[in-house]
Amino acid sequence: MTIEEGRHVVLLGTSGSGKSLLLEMLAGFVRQDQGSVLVNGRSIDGLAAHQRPLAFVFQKPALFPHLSVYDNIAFPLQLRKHSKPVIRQKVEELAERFKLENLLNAKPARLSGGEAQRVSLARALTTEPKLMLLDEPLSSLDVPLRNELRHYLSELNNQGMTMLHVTHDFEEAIRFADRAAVLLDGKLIQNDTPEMLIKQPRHTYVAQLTGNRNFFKAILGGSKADEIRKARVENIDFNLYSGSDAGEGIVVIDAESIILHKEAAASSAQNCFKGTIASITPLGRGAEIEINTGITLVAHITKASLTAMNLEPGQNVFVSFKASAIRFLEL
Amino acid sequence: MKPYSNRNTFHLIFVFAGSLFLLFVFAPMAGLMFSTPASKLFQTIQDVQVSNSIGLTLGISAIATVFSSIFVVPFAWYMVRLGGRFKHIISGLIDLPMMIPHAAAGIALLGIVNRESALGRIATEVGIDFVDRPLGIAVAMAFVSVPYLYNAAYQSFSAIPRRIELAAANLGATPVTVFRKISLPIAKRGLLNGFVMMFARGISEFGAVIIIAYHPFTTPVLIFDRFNAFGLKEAQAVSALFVIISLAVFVLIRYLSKPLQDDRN
Repeated sequence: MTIEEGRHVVLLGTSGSGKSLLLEMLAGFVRQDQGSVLVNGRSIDGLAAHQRPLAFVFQKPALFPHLSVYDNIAFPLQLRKHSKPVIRQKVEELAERFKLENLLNAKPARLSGGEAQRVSLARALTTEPKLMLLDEPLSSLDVPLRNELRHYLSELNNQGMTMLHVTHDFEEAIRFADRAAVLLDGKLIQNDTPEMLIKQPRHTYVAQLTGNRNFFKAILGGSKADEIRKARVENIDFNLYSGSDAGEGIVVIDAESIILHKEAAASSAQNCFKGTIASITPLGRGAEIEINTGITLVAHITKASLTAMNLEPGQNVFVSFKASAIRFLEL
Repeated sequence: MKPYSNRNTFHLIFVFAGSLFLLFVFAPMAGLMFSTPASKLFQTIQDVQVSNSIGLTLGISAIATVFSSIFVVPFAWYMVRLGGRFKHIISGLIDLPMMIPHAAAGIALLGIVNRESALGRIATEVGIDFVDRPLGIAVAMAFVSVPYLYNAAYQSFSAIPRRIELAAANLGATPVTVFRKISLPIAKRGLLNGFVMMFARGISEFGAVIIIAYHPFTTPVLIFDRFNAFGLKEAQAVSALFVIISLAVFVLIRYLSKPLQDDRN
């Protein structure tokens, strides 16, 4: 995996997927059994943790409890033997940037979670790192405090800091990331923009991660030579494009691409089905609609459309979507 | 009229048993204190042999503690952070001297430091003797009390969250710097507690010390000697004096460990 300078890359996965371990290997806390870590093309495998130009921000703030906020931030500068006036200047600069001026004399025990993470960020920046490694920096914070910290992280990235940000929350990826890489059981299964992860998941796990609920066991027919293929889910046939061999697999349908009609309409969509509305659930600024067509499909529509079409559970509707809205994943 | 409820009986049994227990612990001590009038205590402390032995006992244990800590504290830190698979076996081994009978510990030590042993012969060449020497006493005290220091140090370093030391390394601190500037200061209270426990254990040691060195007299050995030579009354005076001093040490331990608990919570 390559991280380009100035990018904010999100590493997604659940607990146990290895994402935190990967960060620890990059930082040099753990030695890898195989492979290399390269910075600007040169291997840093031989460098101990204290020699690497990568800054690590932990999930729970790792402030030194016996030192004040000032001394915490000054610590790396003191290690590098900067003079007292220089240290003072740098610490005050960072304190201003992260709104910590009033807290400089406080001990970490007195800080809130958000304040402590800001101190961690400020402290990490004193080393002028090439890359920041963020291990779920927001997850230990209460939800209202997260926005504040997100703002600081975005700002840092906008100013050119390269970041590798580990999280289990796909929404963080959408907010921040230029690219998102997905780890499952220690393997990198997809590395793409967040949009592509939603639209073209290469694995059911990615589909689940992005919140897509439209995936079904299917049997793909036809051959690679056919332009349009058929996939059978229970007793329903879908039309789709696929380069896979015929056989068992999973079809994934993009919920945003499913269109609802009150009446059957001729359209260019290759897939049209009649169904009954099973449920309507408000979701964000719209609604999630479950339609029973023999199997349950989930569509997302806006609030406006919902009221305009006057949809209610129990009603008959028609759903349609293009062949390109379906992905077939081999098992 | 209310029948006699079970709860009251239960409560009474506990109060009765508790009182017996406290009496068991407290009565011998109280008896010892009351056995010796203040005038006799003053007389005893002026006895040169007694005051010398108290000074010797406290001094040797203190020196043994300080010297041991120079190696044991960094070693405990190393075990916590980098000990790998063997650290539990090693912890168990280190506890051994604490668990075996003290006289047996003394014999074990004597086996390797006596003049005829390999170590003993080398030591004699250099002019060092263990048997019947303060150095031997120091070794005996350290042998039975070092586990307290090691365990206290190990626990104190274990209590430091790993990410704090990793953060220090990530910010540029070498392992030695992490130990000096982060681990030691944070573990300070627990380490101090360990020092006091090792010191207290050392001053009270009898079995291992008397095997290595009957002379010069540490106070526990002196008490034994006086009891044999002069009887209970004489032994009581020295014992009372020494118990007062030991109690002062234990009060110090309690006082120092209380802030440790408050800090943690």
